Amino acid sequence: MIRLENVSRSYGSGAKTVAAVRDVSLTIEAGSFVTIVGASGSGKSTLLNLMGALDRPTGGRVLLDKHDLSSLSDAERTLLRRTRIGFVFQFFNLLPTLTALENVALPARLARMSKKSTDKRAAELLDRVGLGARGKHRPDELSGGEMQRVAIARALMMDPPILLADEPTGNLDSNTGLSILDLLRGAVEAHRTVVLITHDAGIAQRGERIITMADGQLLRDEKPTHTH
Amino acid sequence: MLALLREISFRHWMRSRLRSLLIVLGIALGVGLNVATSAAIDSLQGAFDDLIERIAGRADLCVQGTGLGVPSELLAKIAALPGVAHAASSLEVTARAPDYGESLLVLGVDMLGDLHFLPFNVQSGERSVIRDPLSFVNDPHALLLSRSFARRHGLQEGSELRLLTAEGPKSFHVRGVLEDSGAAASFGGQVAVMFLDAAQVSFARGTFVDRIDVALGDRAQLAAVRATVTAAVGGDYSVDEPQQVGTRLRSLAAPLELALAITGLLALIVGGFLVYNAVAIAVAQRRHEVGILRALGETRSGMVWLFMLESAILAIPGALLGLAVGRGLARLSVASTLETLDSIFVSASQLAPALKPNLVLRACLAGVLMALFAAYFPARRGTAFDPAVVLRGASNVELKQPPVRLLLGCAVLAACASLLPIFDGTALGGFAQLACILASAALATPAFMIAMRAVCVRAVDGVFGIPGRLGLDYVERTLSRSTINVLALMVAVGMSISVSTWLGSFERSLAKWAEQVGSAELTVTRGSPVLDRRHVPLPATAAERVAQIPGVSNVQRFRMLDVQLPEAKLRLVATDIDVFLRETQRRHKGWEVVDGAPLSPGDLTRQRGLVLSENAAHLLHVRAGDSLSLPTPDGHISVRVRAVVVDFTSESGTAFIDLGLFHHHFQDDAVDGLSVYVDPRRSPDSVAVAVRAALSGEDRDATVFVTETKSVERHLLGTLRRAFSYSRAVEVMTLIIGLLGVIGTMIAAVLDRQREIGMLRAVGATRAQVALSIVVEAGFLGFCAALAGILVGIAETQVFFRTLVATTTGWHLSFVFPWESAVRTTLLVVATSALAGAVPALRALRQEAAGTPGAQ
Repeated sequence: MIRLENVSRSYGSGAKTVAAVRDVSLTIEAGSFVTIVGASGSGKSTLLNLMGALDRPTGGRVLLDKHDLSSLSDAERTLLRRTRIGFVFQFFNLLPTLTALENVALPARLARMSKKSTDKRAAELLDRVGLGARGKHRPDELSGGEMQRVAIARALMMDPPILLADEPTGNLDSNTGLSILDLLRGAVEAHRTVVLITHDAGIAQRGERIITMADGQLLRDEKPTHTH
Repeated sequence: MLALLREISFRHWMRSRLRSLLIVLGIALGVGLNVATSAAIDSLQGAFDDLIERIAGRADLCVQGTGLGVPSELLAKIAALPGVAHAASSLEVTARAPDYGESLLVLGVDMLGDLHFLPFNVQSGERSVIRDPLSFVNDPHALLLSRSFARRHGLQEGSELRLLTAEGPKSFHVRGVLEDSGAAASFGGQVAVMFLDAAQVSFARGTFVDRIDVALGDRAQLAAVRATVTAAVGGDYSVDEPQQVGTRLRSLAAPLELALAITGLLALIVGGFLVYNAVAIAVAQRRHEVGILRALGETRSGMVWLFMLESAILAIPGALLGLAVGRGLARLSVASTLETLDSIFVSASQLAPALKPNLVLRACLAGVLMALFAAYFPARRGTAFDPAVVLRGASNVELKQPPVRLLLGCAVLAACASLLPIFDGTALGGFAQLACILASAALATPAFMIAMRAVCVRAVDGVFGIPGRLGLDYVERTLSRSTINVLALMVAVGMSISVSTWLGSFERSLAKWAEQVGSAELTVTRGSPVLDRRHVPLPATAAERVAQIPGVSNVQRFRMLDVQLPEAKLRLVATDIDVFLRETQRRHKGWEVVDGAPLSPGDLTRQRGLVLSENAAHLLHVRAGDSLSLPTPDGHISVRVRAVVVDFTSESGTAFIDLGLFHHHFQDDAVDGLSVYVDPRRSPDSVAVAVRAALSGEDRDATVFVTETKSVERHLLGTLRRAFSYSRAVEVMTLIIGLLGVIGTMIAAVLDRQREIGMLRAVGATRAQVALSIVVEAGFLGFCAALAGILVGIAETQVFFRTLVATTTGWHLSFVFPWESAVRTTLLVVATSALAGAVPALRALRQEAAGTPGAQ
């Protein structure tokens, strides 16, 4: 479960202060699929970073399964990200010198797990996202959709209960985007909490709950009008 | 352009202070080293100009000889020749003033003969130099002193000045003070003038002089009079115009000058590397900004000029800082150069370096031009993209890799070129080979780094995990930039290995030779513990006195002088050959004979013969059994080469003859030094004390050196190491420049990889793991540079030995790989490179995980 209590995040100081997130309170139950939608600059990415322990709030608290993130040290937060949170980014963020298999195995290699066991699991995950035969290819040999699949497999490597996706279909054509969304839906069905950020209202409808943000604040918290 | 400089460039300098500082420091160090080297070269040239000015003022021709010099008797003969208006003899000796710890240039002149060449005006009315001519003429120990030396030490007319002579420290009487002009101003204003015959006696020159100066009645007759004088003096003496004297000496010192010039140029080039690197980084970092400016209408050439001007403007404070650094380094370089010059070639005073305006201007201009040149290529390369590519958000990491295969092919060609036979056998060919080797190494570096990565990646992954692997991957991804860093460090390492190998090999050869021939327990000299230009001969009776000391089993005298043969100059060593052969045979030691039969006592005394050093045989193209014609005061004598031996006495080659033969033909009974063989039942220390007492006399002459022969060897090796001390300083500075380049590269690496670093942090990399990746990358650059530098250093040394040393000296040194130095240098470079990576790694540590993964 993810809970935000009066969370704010500001940058700069004095007259140059920018409030990216203002006094947001929110609870996301375990196993739910939440989409956060808003225009550019609405604060949705900042909110995601706060939930993912990538950033610290300037006000309020962020709790992840009762862990108050602001009270954790950097090492503890890193460990949390490694084991309990998986990230999927808009621009894939794969390492170009690693193969698809090695990119997927990256979180486990960072945790100094044995190469044999990590490679085995990574191969399984690649299979699951439909890229079992592409393990030895480098990112520059994959299409955009394939790269995003590899990124999703990487996010699932440590079997995290939470997946945070920042505009995962933003760089893909609509058909490919749909297939990515299906994969994320599959993660929900495996009882993971998925939080997806998008500026596309159509994609936002894919979630079980839609949170709309504007100017750093929660505007609306509603169920989708269409089911998929 | 000015608007761009003001609005954009200046702000970048302020924001990227460290990178701006790197450009400034790179230029500063390059300029500093260049200034120091130029100052050393200027000091060399200054010493020669000083010499020429001393003699050129009034002389149209100079008659000189090698060895003992020119016999005084030739003066009358020359003076009587048609066309000669004036002729006078002179002597020049560097003498130590032991009370002040300084050296003086003593000019011995004939003050009762032709006064045309006197270095001062004797009769100048109220300002007459010699107030009491009668006392002056009647005093054989009278001298005139330059005003600056006199003033500095509180000396005046009537004072006493002690100088170290062949008879020990002797007191001279100051009978007049010379104004600091003309000859008196040379040698840094440390000049004394005395009677010629007093100088000949005091400095054991017999009836010989250094020079006979000739002034013509009609200068238009120069060629004719020169021919007449040459015919009159015979072929053993040179008759030159004063400028030619300097030219000849300059040619002897040319290798030293060339080595200094190359060092200075290398330093500037390595500084240029740093600028190239920093500009390449700046261009890469500002690609987005460049794309915007291009999209708004700025031309590509305009952007190139902008970066070049930025670099040139930063070079100005760099050059100014470099002048300050250079001034400090110049003290070391000038002191080292002048010490070498003074001990080998010509009297040179230890002057404090003065940075002349043209040197300052040259250095500053070189620094700015280097900055412009170094900035041009990365600026041109970095702005050669379609602005739309950048504005779409393409990665900052290199999009275009260098053509590795093509470069490798060119490297192979350059390496093959260095093996061409046309380069063998000449010094110039040797330098051409060195240039080919360096070019080959530079071109092969990208391929080398790719290969090293492939070799090391598994081991690095095993030790450091995935962060280490990523560090190595990044080196390959930014190959151009990484190559520049490796090249800069490689030059420094190559230099270090060359110097260490040369030193180590020479030391080993020298030590081996010394072990074989240094059989005597003690060596006795005066003025210097070794027979350099500063030593003074011992009196003829010294050997007799020493031989009578209890505990002395044998005494071997030796006398050294240089003789000029048609092919080359030769060092002639006259010694008690039979004593040497008996004593060395008794100790199962002796010369290593490379040509001819083994030597036995009597071989050189029963039949007139000589032993030739290996390098002399090489330079003179003679073998054992051939005859050599030696010039003597008696005329040329033909002497058979009995054997050729390994010997390191002189770089110009040595011939050993028996002292009896020398006395017979040279009429010279002075002794340069003694080798003392101690009875094995006595302690060398106690015998040394007795020898010192016997030779010092009542005034406890502290200028007699009685040294254990092993100490002499150590002194020689110490001198050798000191001669390279400036080179070592240059190595250190070049290494610093290279490491600064690594810092700059790694800073850029962190900035380039902001998004990747953010992603790594997001997927669970700790700050330490991110920092480790950067440190491993930096350390790997150092590792590649160290290995490449060792290979380049070995290749350079081989060329140096085979071509430069063998060609100029004839010595064949056995190659000794400097394992200790190679390991030490490798560890140092890897560690300092890794440490250089720690600076930007710390920046990465401070970076929060947020903001970068999805940010644009």
